[in-house]
Amino acid sequence: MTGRARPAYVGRAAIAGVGWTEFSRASGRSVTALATECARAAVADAGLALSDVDGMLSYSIGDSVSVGQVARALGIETMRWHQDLSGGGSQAASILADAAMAIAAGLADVIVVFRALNGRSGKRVGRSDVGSADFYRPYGVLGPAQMFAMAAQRYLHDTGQTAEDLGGVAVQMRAHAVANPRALRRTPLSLSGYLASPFVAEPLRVLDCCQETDAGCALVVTSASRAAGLRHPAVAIGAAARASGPGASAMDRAGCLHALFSQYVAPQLWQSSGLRPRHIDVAALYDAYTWVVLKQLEDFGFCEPGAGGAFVRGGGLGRTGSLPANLNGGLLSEGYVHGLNNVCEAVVQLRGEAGDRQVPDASVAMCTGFGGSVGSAVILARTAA
Amino acid sequence: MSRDWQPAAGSGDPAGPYWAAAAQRRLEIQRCSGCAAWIHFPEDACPRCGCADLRFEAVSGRGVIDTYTVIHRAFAPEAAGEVPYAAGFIELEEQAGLRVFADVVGADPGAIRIGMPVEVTFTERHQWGLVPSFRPRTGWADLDSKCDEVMG
Repeated sequence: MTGRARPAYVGRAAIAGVGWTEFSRASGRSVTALATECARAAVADAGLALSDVDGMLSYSIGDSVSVGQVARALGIETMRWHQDLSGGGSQAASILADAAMAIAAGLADVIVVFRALNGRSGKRVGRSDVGSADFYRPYGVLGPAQMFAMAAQRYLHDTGQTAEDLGGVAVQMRAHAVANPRALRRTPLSLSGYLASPFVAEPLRVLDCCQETDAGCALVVTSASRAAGLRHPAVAIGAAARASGPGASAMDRAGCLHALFSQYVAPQLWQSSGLRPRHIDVAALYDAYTWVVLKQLEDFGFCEPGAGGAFVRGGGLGRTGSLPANLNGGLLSEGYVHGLNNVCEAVVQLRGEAGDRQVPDASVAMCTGFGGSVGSAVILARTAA
Repeated sequence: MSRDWQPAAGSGDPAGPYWAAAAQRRLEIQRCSGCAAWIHFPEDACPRCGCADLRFEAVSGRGVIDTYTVIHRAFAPEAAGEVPYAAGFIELEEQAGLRVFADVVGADPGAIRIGMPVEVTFTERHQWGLVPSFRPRTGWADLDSKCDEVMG
Protein backbone atom coordinates (compact mmCIF):
# COMPACT_ATOMS: atom_id res chain seq x y z
CA MET A 1 0.00 0.00 0.00
CA THR A 2 1.09 3.46 -0.80
CA GLY A 3 -0.70 6.50 0.47
CA ARG A 4 -1.77 7.77 3.81
CA ALA A 5 -0.84 6.45 7.19
CA ARG A 6 -3.42 4.51 9.12
CA PRO A 7 -5.87 6.97 10.72
CA ALA A 8 -5.17 7.55 14.41
CA TYR A 9 -8.58 6.34 15.63
CA VAL A 10 -8.41 2.97 13.88
CA GLY A 11 -8.44 0.05 16.29
CA ARG A 12 -8.57 2.27 19.37
CA ALA A 13 -12.31 1.85 19.98
CA ALA A 14 -14.68 -1.09 19.88
CA ILE A 15 -18.35 -1.91 20.02
CA ALA A 16 -19.15 -3.63 23.30
CA GLY A 17 -22.92 -3.77 23.22
CA VAL A 18 -25.95 -3.65 20.93
CA GLY A 19 -29.61 -3.21 21.73
CA TRP A 20 -32.96 -3.03 19.98
CA THR A 21 -36.56 -2.33 20.75
CA GLU A 22 -39.30 -4.34 19.16
CA PHE A 23 -39.81 -3.41 15.49
CA SER A 24 -43.39 -2.42 14.65
CA ARG A 25 -45.56 -0.31 12.41
CA ALA A 26 -47.30 1.35 15.35
CA SER A 27 -45.29 1.36 18.55
CA GLY A 28 -47.86 3.33 20.55
CA ARG A 29 -44.89 4.78 22.46
CA SER A 30 -42.91 7.98 22.39
CA VAL A 31 -39.62 8.20 20.53
CA THR A 32 -37.96 8.95 23.87
CA ALA A 33 -39.31 5.67 25.24
CA LEU A 34 -37.92 3.79 22.23
CA ALA A 35 -34.55 5.53 22.53
CA THR A 36 -34.17 4.82 26.25
CA GLU A 37 -35.19 1.20 25.82
CA CYS A 38 -32.63 0.43 23.13
CA ALA A 39 -29.93 2.38 24.99
CA ARG A 40 -30.61 0.46 28.21
CA ALA A 41 -30.54 -2.81 26.27
CA ALA A 42 -27.20 -2.00 24.63
CA VAL A 43 -25.58 -0.94 27.91
CA ALA A 44 -26.83 -4.09 29.63
CA ASP A 45 -25.63 -6.18 26.70
CA ALA A 46 -22.17 -4.71 27.20
CA GLY A 47 -22.27 -5.58 30.89
CA LEU A 48 -21.95 -1.93 31.82
CA ALA A 49 -24.11 0.37 33.94
CA LEU A 50 -25.83 3.55 32.83
CA SER A 51 -23.53 5.35 35.26
CA ASP A 52 -20.61 4.31 33.04
CA VAL A 53 -22.05 6.21 30.07
CA ASP A 54 -20.47 9.61 29.56
CA GLY A 55 -21.13 10.21 25.88
CA MET A 56 -24.00 9.95 23.43
CA LEU A 57 -24.39 10.39 19.67
CA SER A 58 -27.45 10.20 17.47
CA TYR A 59 -28.60 11.34 14.04
CA SER A 60 -31.98 12.34 12.78
CA ILE A 61 -33.86 14.46 10.27
CA GLY A 62 -36.33 16.22 12.53
CA ASP A 63 -38.00 12.97 13.51
CA SER A 64 -36.35 12.03 16.78
CA VAL A 65 -35.37 13.33 20.20
CA SER A 66 -32.12 14.94 21.25
CA VAL A 67 -29.38 13.07 23.06
CA GLY A 68 -29.91 15.48 25.95
CA GLN A 69 -33.54 14.40 26.32
CA VAL A 70 -32.56 10.75 26.19
CA ALA A 71 -29.76 11.17 28.72
CA ARG A 72 -32.15 12.94 31.05
CA ALA A 73 -34.75 10.20 30.67
CA LEU A 74 -32.05 7.64 31.50
CA GLY A 75 -31.02 9.57 34.61
CA ILE A 76 -27.59 10.42 33.19
CA GLU A 77 -27.11 13.90 34.57
CA THR A 78 -23.61 14.74 33.46
CA MET A 79 -22.13 13.87 30.12
CA ARG A 80 -18.93 14.56 28.31
CA TRP A 81 -18.94 14.19 24.53
CA HIS A 82 -22.47 14.27 23.13
CA GLN A 83 -23.78 15.40 19.79
CA ASP A 84 -26.93 15.41 17.68
CA LEU A 85 -25.94 14.90 14.06
CA SER A 86 -28.21 16.22 11.35
CA GLY A 87 -28.71 13.71 8.60
CA GLY A 88 -30.18 10.44 7.58
CA GLY A 89 -28.70 7.30 6.14
CA SER A 90 -25.40 8.91 5.29
CA GLN A 91 -24.60 8.88 9.01
CA ALA A 92 -25.32 5.21 9.63
CA ALA A 93 -21.70 4.11 9.17
CA SER A 94 -19.65 7.22 9.88
CA ILE A 95 -21.28 7.82 13.26
CA LEU A 96 -19.23 4.88 14.55
CA ALA A 97 -16.07 6.64 13.41
CA ASP A 98 -17.28 9.80 15.15
CA ALA A 99 -17.61 7.77 18.33
CA ALA A 100 -14.24 6.10 17.81
CA MET A 101 -12.53 9.45 17.28
CA ALA A 102 -14.02 10.78 20.52
CA ILE A 103 -12.89 7.68 22.40
CA ALA A 104 -9.41 7.75 20.86
CA ALA A 105 -9.07 11.42 21.75
CA GLY A 106 -10.04 10.78 25.35
CA LEU A 107 -13.16 12.92 25.10
CA ALA A 108 -15.40 10.21 26.53
CA ASP A 109 -15.06 6.66 27.85
CA VAL A 110 -18.39 5.03 27.04
CA ILE A 111 -20.53 6.39 24.22
CA VAL A 112 -24.05 5.27 23.36
CA VAL A 113 -24.84 5.63 19.65
CA PHE A 114 -28.53 5.35 18.84
CA ARG A 115 -31.23 5.99 16.26
CA ALA A 116 -34.86 5.92 17.32
CA LEU A 117 -37.97 6.95 15.44
CA ASN A 118 -41.65 6.28 14.94
CA GLY A 119 -40.88 6.07 11.25
CA ARG A 120 -44.16 4.42 10.30
CA SER A 121 -46.75 5.72 12.74
CA GLY A 122 -45.15 9.12 13.26
CA LYS A 123 -43.18 11.30 10.89
CA ARG A 124 -42.48 9.20 7.81
CA VAL A 125 -39.17 9.64 6.02
CA GLY A 126 -40.81 8.51 2.79
CA ARG A 127 -43.02 11.58 2.70
CA SER A 128 -40.51 14.16 3.81
CA ASP A 129 -39.21 16.99 1.69
CA VAL A 130 -35.98 16.47 -0.14
CA GLY A 131 -33.63 19.19 -1.39
CA SER A 132 -35.00 21.72 -3.88
CA ALA A 133 -38.57 20.69 -3.02
CA ASP A 134 -39.83 24.00 -4.38
CA PHE A 135 -39.11 22.69 -7.86
CA TYR A 136 -40.64 19.25 -7.39
CA ARG A 137 -43.80 19.81 -5.39
CA PRO A 138 -45.74 21.74 -8.06
CA TYR A 139 -45.51 18.57 -10.17
CA GLY A 140 -46.73 16.25 -7.44
CA VAL A 141 -43.26 14.90 -6.69
CA LEU A 142 -42.53 14.48 -2.99
CA GLY A 143 -40.21 12.34 -0.92
CA PRO A 144 -37.05 10.36 -1.49
CA ALA A 145 -38.64 7.33 -3.21
CA GLN A 146 -39.93 9.44 -6.09
CA MET A 147 -36.65 11.30 -6.42
CA PHE A 148 -34.47 8.21 -6.27
CA ALA A 149 -36.82 6.49 -8.73
CA MET A 150 -35.58 8.93 -11.36
CA ALA A 151 -31.97 8.06 -10.60
CA ALA A 152 -32.92 4.38 -10.72
CA GLN A 153 -34.57 4.80 -14.12
CA ARG A 154 -31.39 6.26 -15.54
CA TYR A 155 -29.29 3.59 -13.83
CA LEU A 156 -31.27 0.80 -15.46
CA HIS A 157 -31.15 2.62 -18.81
CA ASP A 158 -27.38 3.11 -18.70
CA THR A 159 -26.46 -0.35 -17.44
CA GLY A 160 -29.06 -2.39 -19.30
CA GLN A 161 -30.30 -3.97 -16.09
CA THR A 162 -33.96 -4.80 -15.57
CA ALA A 163 -36.79 -5.19 -13.09
CA GLU A 164 -35.60 -8.76 -12.53
CA ASP A 165 -32.25 -7.39 -11.35
CA LEU A 166 -33.96 -5.11 -8.85
CA GLY A 167 -36.21 -7.97 -7.80
CA GLY A 168 -33.25 -10.15 -7.00
CA VAL A 169 -32.33 -7.81 -4.14
CA ALA A 170 -35.86 -7.77 -2.73
CA VAL A 171 -36.07 -11.56 -2.93
CA GLN A 172 -32.67 -12.07 -1.26
CA MET A 173 -33.40 -9.66 1.59
CA ARG A 174 -36.73 -11.35 2.20
CA ALA A 175 -35.10 -14.75 2.25
CA HIS A 176 -32.79 -13.48 4.98
CA ALA A 177 -35.68 -11.96 6.94
CA VAL A 178 -37.56 -15.24 7.08
CA ALA A 179 -34.91 -16.42 9.58
CA ASN A 180 -35.13 -13.26 11.70
CA PRO A 181 -37.96 -13.06 14.25
CA ARG A 182 -37.47 -9.29 14.58
CA ALA A 183 -38.13 -8.61 10.88
CA LEU A 184 -41.39 -6.95 9.83
CA ARG A 185 -41.63 -8.50 6.35
CA ARG A 186 -41.20 -12.27 6.74
CA THR A 187 -43.57 -13.76 4.18
CA PRO A 188 -41.45 -15.65 1.65
CA LEU A 189 -41.12 -13.75 -1.62
CA SER A 190 -40.52 -15.06 -5.14
CA LEU A 191 -39.44 -13.06 -8.17
CA SER A 192 -42.95 -13.30 -9.61
CA GLY A 193 -44.31 -12.05 -6.29
CA TYR A 194 -41.95 -9.13 -6.53
CA LEU A 195 -43.02 -8.37 -10.10
CA ALA A 196 -46.66 -8.35 -8.98
CA SER A 197 -45.91 -5.65 -6.41
CA PRO A 198 -47.47 -2.32 -7.42
CA PHE A 199 -45.35 0.59 -8.56
CA VAL A 200 -44.73 3.54 -6.28
CA ALA A 201 -42.76 5.51 -8.84
CA GLU A 202 -41.38 3.65 -11.85
CA PRO A 203 -39.15 1.71 -11.89
CA LEU A 204 -39.55 1.32 -8.11
CA ARG A 205 -42.27 -0.93 -6.76
CA VAL A 206 -43.45 -1.07 -3.17
CA LEU A 207 -41.02 -3.96 -2.63
CA ASP A 208 -38.10 -1.93 -3.97
CA CYS A 209 -38.54 0.45 -1.05
CA CYS A 210 -37.60 -0.14 2.56
CA GLN A 211 -40.12 -0.90 5.27
CA GLU A 212 -40.78 2.22 7.33
CA THR A 213 -40.61 1.21 10.98
CA ASP A 214 -41.17 2.30 14.57
CA ALA A 215 -38.09 1.19 16.52
CA GLY A 216 -34.82 2.10 18.14
CA CYS A 217 -31.33 0.60 17.86
CA ALA A 218 -28.26 1.39 19.94
CA LEU A 219 -24.59 0.47 20.16
CA VAL A 220 -22.13 1.00 23.00
CA VAL A 221 -18.66 2.17 21.98
CA THR A 222 -15.75 2.19 24.37
CA SER A 223 -11.98 1.83 24.22
CA ALA A 224 -10.66 -1.35 22.66
CA SER A 225 -8.91 -2.26 25.91
CA ARG A 226 -12.03 -1.80 28.02
CA ALA A 227 -14.20 -3.65 25.51
CA ALA A 228 -11.82 -6.61 25.59
CA GLY A 229 -12.74 -7.28 29.21
CA LEU A 230 -16.51 -7.18 28.78
CA ARG A 231 -19.18 -9.80 28.15
CA HIS A 232 -19.03 -10.27 24.40
CA PRO A 233 -16.21 -10.48 21.87
CA ALA A 234 -15.17 -6.90 21.16
CA VAL A 235 -15.86 -5.58 17.65
CA ALA A 236 -13.17 -3.10 16.71
CA ILE A 237 -14.01 0.02 14.72
CA GLY A 238 -11.65 0.22 11.79
CA ALA A 239 -11.13 2.72 9.01
CA ALA A 240 -14.05 4.81 7.87
CA ALA A 241 -14.77 7.12 4.98
CA ARG A 242 -17.36 9.80 4.56
CA ALA A 243 -17.61 11.53 1.21
CA SER A 244 -19.88 13.17 -1.31
CA GLY A 245 -19.92 14.36 -4.88
CA PRO A 246 -22.18 15.15 -7.81
CA GLY A 247 -24.93 12.61 -8.34
CA ALA A 248 -28.35 11.47 -7.30
CA SER A 249 -28.62 13.97 -4.46
CA ALA A 250 -28.61 16.92 -6.85
CA MET A 251 -29.78 15.74 -10.25
CA ASP A 252 -30.20 19.29 -11.55
CA ARG A 253 -26.44 19.54 -11.87
CA ALA A 254 -24.93 16.06 -11.79
CA GLY A 255 -22.92 14.77 -14.71
CA CYS A 256 -24.13 11.26 -13.94
CA LEU A 257 -27.69 11.21 -12.60
CA HIS A 258 -27.28 7.93 -10.75
CA ALA A 259 -23.89 8.51 -9.13
CA LEU A 260 -24.07 7.53 -5.46
CA PHE A 261 -21.92 8.03 -2.37
CA SER A 262 -20.25 4.69 -2.94
CA GLN A 263 -18.40 6.04 -5.98
CA TYR A 264 -16.72 8.62 -3.73
CA VAL A 265 -16.43 6.57 -0.53
CA ALA A 266 -15.03 3.34 -1.96
CA PRO A 267 -11.55 4.54 -3.01
CA GLN A 268 -11.09 6.31 0.31
CA LEU A 269 -12.21 3.30 2.31
CA TRP A 270 -9.96 0.86 0.48
CA GLN A 271 -7.02 3.20 0.74
CA SER A 272 -7.36 4.07 4.42
CA SER A 273 -8.16 0.51 5.51
CA GLY A 274 -5.61 -1.21 3.30
CA LEU A 275 -8.32 -3.78 2.59
CA ARG A 276 -9.82 -5.00 -0.66
CA PRO A 277 -13.26 -6.43 -1.45
CA ARG A 278 -11.94 -9.99 -1.04
CA HIS A 279 -11.21 -9.29 2.63
CA ILE A 280 -14.83 -8.55 3.54
CA ASP A 281 -16.60 -11.51 5.17
CA VAL A 282 -19.98 -9.91 5.76
CA ALA A 283 -21.55 -6.61 4.78
CA ALA A 284 -24.20 -4.22 6.00
CA LEU A 285 -25.24 -2.59 2.73
CA TYR A 286 -27.63 0.30 3.08
CA ASP A 287 -30.73 -0.88 1.23
CA ALA A 288 -33.27 1.89 1.34
CA TYR A 289 -33.99 0.89 -2.28
CA THR A 290 -33.05 -2.25 -4.17
CA TRP A 291 -31.07 -0.49 -6.88
CA VAL A 292 -28.71 1.24 -4.47
CA VAL A 293 -27.48 -2.20 -3.37
CA LEU A 294 -26.55 -3.05 -6.97
CA LYS A 295 -24.79 0.26 -7.40
CA GLN A 296 -22.80 -0.17 -4.18
CA LEU A 297 -21.67 -3.65 -5.19
CA GLU A 298 -20.36 -2.21 -8.44
CA ASP A 299 -18.76 0.89 -6.90
CA PHE A 300 -17.02 -0.98 -4.08
CA GLY A 301 -15.67 -3.47 -6.60
CA PHE A 302 -17.50 -6.61 -5.53
CA CYS A 303 -18.53 -7.03 -9.19
CA GLU A 304 -18.06 -5.31 -12.51
CA PRO A 305 -20.01 -2.15 -13.36
CA GLY A 306 -23.51 -3.09 -14.48
CA ALA A 307 -23.19 -6.61 -13.09
CA GLY A 308 -24.79 -6.01 -9.68
CA GLY A 309 -28.03 -7.69 -10.65
CA ALA A 310 -26.31 -10.83 -11.91
CA PHE A 311 -24.18 -10.93 -8.76
CA VAL A 312 -27.22 -10.82 -6.48
CA ARG A 313 -29.34 -13.21 -8.56
CA GLY A 314 -26.43 -15.62 -8.51
CA GLY A 315 -26.62 -15.75 -4.72
CA GLY A 316 -23.71 -13.42 -4.02
CA LEU A 317 -25.43 -11.83 -1.00
CA GLY A 318 -26.59 -15.15 0.44
CA ARG A 319 -25.38 -16.53 3.75
CA THR A 320 -22.82 -18.67 1.95
CA GLY A 321 -22.34 -16.33 -1.01
CA SER A 322 -19.18 -14.40 -1.79
CA LEU A 323 -20.47 -11.32 0.08
CA PRO A 324 -23.10 -12.28 2.66
CA ALA A 325 -25.04 -9.09 3.37
CA ASN A 326 -27.85 -7.89 5.60
CA LEU A 327 -28.56 -11.25 7.17
CA ASN A 328 -31.25 -9.49 9.22
CA GLY A 329 -33.26 -8.92 6.04
CA GLY A 330 -32.00 -5.39 5.62
CA LEU A 331 -33.96 -2.19 5.58
CA LEU A 332 -36.15 -3.75 2.90
CA SER A 333 -37.44 -6.56 5.09
CA GLU A 334 -36.26 -6.31 8.69
CA GLY A 335 -37.18 -2.66 8.92
CA TYR A 336 -35.89 0.82 8.48
CA VAL A 337 -34.09 2.18 11.51
CA HIS A 338 -32.22 4.48 9.19
CA GLY A 339 -29.48 1.95 8.58
CA LEU A 340 -28.35 1.39 12.15
CA ASN A 341 -30.18 -1.94 12.39
CA ASN A 342 -28.02 -3.29 9.54
CA VAL A 343 -24.92 -2.21 11.49
CA CYS A 344 -26.22 -3.97 14.62
CA GLU A 345 -26.65 -7.17 12.61
CA ALA A 346 -23.05 -6.91 11.38
CA VAL A 347 -21.90 -6.69 15.00
CA VAL A 348 -23.88 -9.78 15.96
CA GLN A 349 -22.40 -11.61 12.97
CA LEU A 350 -18.85 -10.65 13.94
CA ARG A 351 -19.46 -11.89 17.47
CA GLY A 352 -20.61 -15.21 16.04
CA GLU A 353 -23.95 -14.91 17.84
CA ALA A 354 -26.36 -14.87 14.91
CA GLY A 355 -27.67 -18.39 15.32
CA ASP A 356 -29.47 -19.65 12.21
CA ARG A 357 -28.38 -16.53 10.36
CA GLN A 358 -24.69 -16.86 11.21
CA VAL A 359 -22.19 -16.41 8.40
CA PRO A 360 -19.37 -18.91 8.93
CA ASP A 361 -16.07 -17.40 10.08
CA ALA A 362 -17.18 -13.78 9.83
CA SER A 363 -14.34 -11.64 11.12
CA VAL A 364 -14.32 -8.49 8.94
CA ALA A 365 -17.40 -6.45 8.03
CA MET A 366 -18.06 -3.44 5.84
CA CYS A 367 -21.02 -1.23 6.76
CA THR A 368 -22.37 1.51 4.52
CA GLY A 369 -24.56 4.57 4.94
CA PHE A 370 -26.44 5.94 1.92
CA GLY A 371 -27.73 9.46 1.55
CA GLY A 372 -27.83 9.72 -2.22
CA SER A 373 -24.47 10.91 -3.46
CA VAL A 374 -23.35 11.64 0.11
CA GLY A 375 -22.62 8.78 2.45
CA SER A 376 -20.18 6.77 4.45
CA ALA A 377 -18.68 3.38 5.16
CA VAL A 378 -16.83 1.79 8.05
CA ILE A 379 -14.87 -1.39 8.60
CA LEU A 380 -15.63 -3.47 11.70
CA ALA A 381 -13.54 -6.41 12.81
CA ARG A 382 -13.83 -9.12 15.43
CA THR A 383 -10.86 -8.92 17.75
CA ALA A 384 -8.98 -11.98 18.90
CA ALA A 385 -10.42 -13.37 22.12
CA MET B 1 -46.85 24.71 1.07
CA SER B 2 -47.11 27.97 2.97
CA ARG B 3 -44.53 29.44 0.67
CA ASP B 4 -45.41 32.39 -1.52
CA TRP B 5 -45.08 31.22 -5.08
CA GLN B 6 -43.87 33.34 -7.94
CA PRO B 7 -42.31 35.93 -5.64
CA ALA B 8 -41.53 39.31 -7.07
CA ALA B 9 -38.04 39.91 -8.39
CA GLY B 10 -35.89 41.21 -5.57
CA SER B 11 -37.58 39.07 -2.92
CA GLY B 12 -34.31 37.22 -2.39
CA ASP B 13 -35.38 33.90 -3.94
CA PRO B 14 -33.13 33.40 -6.96
CA ALA B 15 -35.86 31.27 -8.56
CA GLY B 16 -38.44 34.07 -8.41
CA PRO B 17 -37.96 35.27 -11.99
CA TYR B 18 -38.17 31.67 -13.30
CA TRP B 19 -41.67 31.21 -11.91
CA ALA B 20 -42.71 34.75 -12.77
CA ALA B 21 -41.76 34.18 -16.42
CA ALA B 22 -43.63 30.86 -16.47
CA ALA B 23 -46.75 32.65 -15.27
CA GLN B 24 -46.43 34.69 -18.49
CA ARG B 25 -45.95 31.51 -20.57
CA ARG B 26 -42.25 32.12 -21.08
CA LEU B 27 -39.41 29.76 -20.24
CA GLU B 28 -36.54 31.88 -18.98
CA ILE B 29 -33.36 30.47 -17.52
CA GLN B 30 -30.78 32.19 -15.36
CA ARG B 31 -27.57 33.08 -17.16
CA CYS B 32 -24.21 34.36 -15.96
CA SER B 33 -23.14 37.75 -17.28
CA GLY B 34 -19.53 36.87 -16.62
CA CYS B 35 -19.03 33.51 -18.34
CA ALA B 36 -22.36 33.15 -20.21
CA ALA B 37 -23.13 29.81 -18.54
CA TRP B 38 -26.78 28.86 -18.19
CA ILE B 39 -27.67 28.02 -14.57
CA HIS B 40 -30.57 25.93 -13.29
CA PHE B 41 -31.79 25.53 -10.57
CA PRO B 42 -31.21 29.25 -10.07
CA GLU B 43 -28.43 30.36 -7.72
CA ASP B 44 -27.22 33.50 -6.00
CA ALA B 45 -23.87 33.26 -7.77
CA CYS B 46 -22.58 31.42 -10.84
CA PRO B 47 -21.33 27.95 -9.80
CA ARG B 48 -18.85 28.04 -12.66
CA CYS B 49 -17.14 31.43 -12.23
CA GLY B 50 -18.58 32.91 -9.03
CA CYS B 51 -20.01 35.97 -10.76
CA ALA B 52 -23.08 37.34 -8.99
CA ASP B 53 -24.39 39.30 -11.98
CA LEU B 54 -27.02 36.85 -13.18
CA ARG B 55 -29.88 37.59 -15.60
CA PHE B 56 -32.81 35.62 -16.91
CA GLU B 57 -32.98 34.99 -20.66
CA ALA B 58 -35.51 33.22 -22.84
CA VAL B 59 -34.54 29.77 -24.10
CA SER B 60 -35.83 27.64 -26.95
CA GLY B 61 -37.88 25.35 -24.74
CA ARG B 62 -36.59 22.34 -26.66
CA GLY B 63 -34.81 19.45 -25.03
CA VAL B 64 -34.70 15.73 -24.39
CA ILE B 65 -35.76 13.66 -21.39
CA ASP B 66 -32.67 12.82 -19.32
CA THR B 67 -34.61 10.77 -16.82
CA TYR B 68 -38.17 10.52 -15.53
CA THR B 69 -40.49 8.57 -13.33
CA VAL B 70 -44.14 7.65 -13.63
CA ILE B 71 -45.74 8.12 -10.26
CA HIS B 72 -48.42 5.64 -9.28
CA ARG B 73 -48.66 6.48 -5.61
CA ALA B 74 -48.83 10.20 -4.91
CA PHE B 75 -47.47 11.31 -1.55
CA ALA B 76 -48.45 14.90 -2.30
CA PRO B 77 -52.15 14.87 -1.37
CA GLU B 78 -53.14 17.46 -3.97
CA ALA B 79 -51.87 15.13 -6.73
CA ALA B 80 -53.57 11.99 -5.47
CA GLY B 81 -56.34 12.09 -8.05
CA GLU B 82 -53.95 12.38 -10.98
CA VAL B 83 -52.01 9.11 -10.92
CA PRO B 84 -50.36 7.88 -12.99
CA TYR B 85 -48.39 10.96 -13.99
CA ALA B 86 -44.88 11.51 -15.29
CA ALA B 87 -42.19 13.98 -14.30
CA GLY B 88 -38.51 14.21 -14.90
CA PHE B 89 -35.42 16.15 -15.83
CA ILE B 90 -35.31 17.69 -19.29
CA GLU B 91 -31.92 18.57 -20.74
CA LEU B 92 -32.32 21.80 -22.70
CA GLU B 93 -30.57 22.17 -26.03
CA GLU B 94 -28.85 25.42 -24.99
CA GLN B 95 -26.13 23.72 -22.96
CA ALA B 96 -25.00 20.18 -22.13
CA GLY B 97 -26.24 19.20 -18.68
CA LEU B 98 -28.64 22.16 -18.37
CA ARG B 99 -31.69 20.47 -16.83
CA VAL B 100 -35.17 21.70 -16.03
CA PHE B 101 -37.49 19.71 -13.80
CA ALA B 102 -41.10 19.44 -14.94
CA ASP B 103 -43.94 17.08 -15.65
CA VAL B 104 -44.30 15.37 -19.02
CA VAL B 105 -47.74 15.88 -20.50
CA GLY B 106 -49.48 14.99 -23.73
CA ALA B 107 -48.03 11.50 -23.83
CA ASP B 108 -49.13 8.10 -22.61
CA PRO B 109 -46.89 7.62 -19.51
CA GLY B 110 -46.03 4.17 -20.80
CA ALA B 111 -44.63 5.64 -24.03
CA ILE B 112 -42.19 8.03 -22.36
CA ARG B 113 -38.52 7.18 -22.87
CA ILE B 114 -35.16 8.56 -21.87
CA GLY B 115 -33.87 10.54 -24.86
CA MET B 116 -37.35 11.49 -26.08
CA PRO B 117 -37.39 14.97 -27.71
CA VAL B 118 -39.74 17.33 -25.88
CA GLU B 119 -40.74 20.99 -25.92
CA VAL B 120 -42.08 23.33 -23.31
CA THR B 121 -45.73 24.08 -22.77
CA PHE B 122 -47.42 25.61 -19.76
CA THR B 123 -49.99 24.01 -17.53
CA GLU B 124 -52.05 25.12 -14.56
CA ARG B 125 -50.98 23.29 -11.39
CA HIS B 126 -53.09 23.63 -8.25
CA GLN B 127 -52.13 26.65 -6.18
CA TRP B 128 -48.97 27.18 -8.21
CA GLY B 129 -50.69 28.60 -11.27
CA LEU B 130 -48.98 28.30 -14.65
CA VAL B 131 -45.78 26.29 -14.55
CA PRO B 132 -43.51 24.90 -17.27
CA SER B 133 -44.39 21.41 -18.53
CA PHE B 134 -42.96 19.42 -21.41
CA ARG B 135 -44.68 17.47 -24.19
CA PRO B 136 -43.33 15.24 -26.93
CA ARG B 137 -41.92 17.27 -29.79
CA THR B 138 -43.36 16.77 -33.22
CA GLY B 139 -40.63 15.68 -35.58
CA TRP B 140 -40.14 17.06 -39.10
CA ALA B 141 -41.54 13.88 -40.60
CA ASP B 142 -44.75 14.32 -38.63
CA LEU B 143 -44.96 17.97 -39.60
CA ASP B 144 -44.59 17.01 -43.26
CA SER B 145 -47.40 14.51 -43.04
CA LYS B 146 -49.60 17.05 -41.28
CA CYS B 147 -48.84 19.57 -44.02
CA ASP B 148 -49.86 16.97 -46.57
CA GLU B 149 -53.15 16.47 -44.78
CA VAL B 150 -53.83 20.19 -44.66
CA MET B 151 -52.80 20.70 -48.27
CA GLY B 152 -54.89 17.73 -49.38
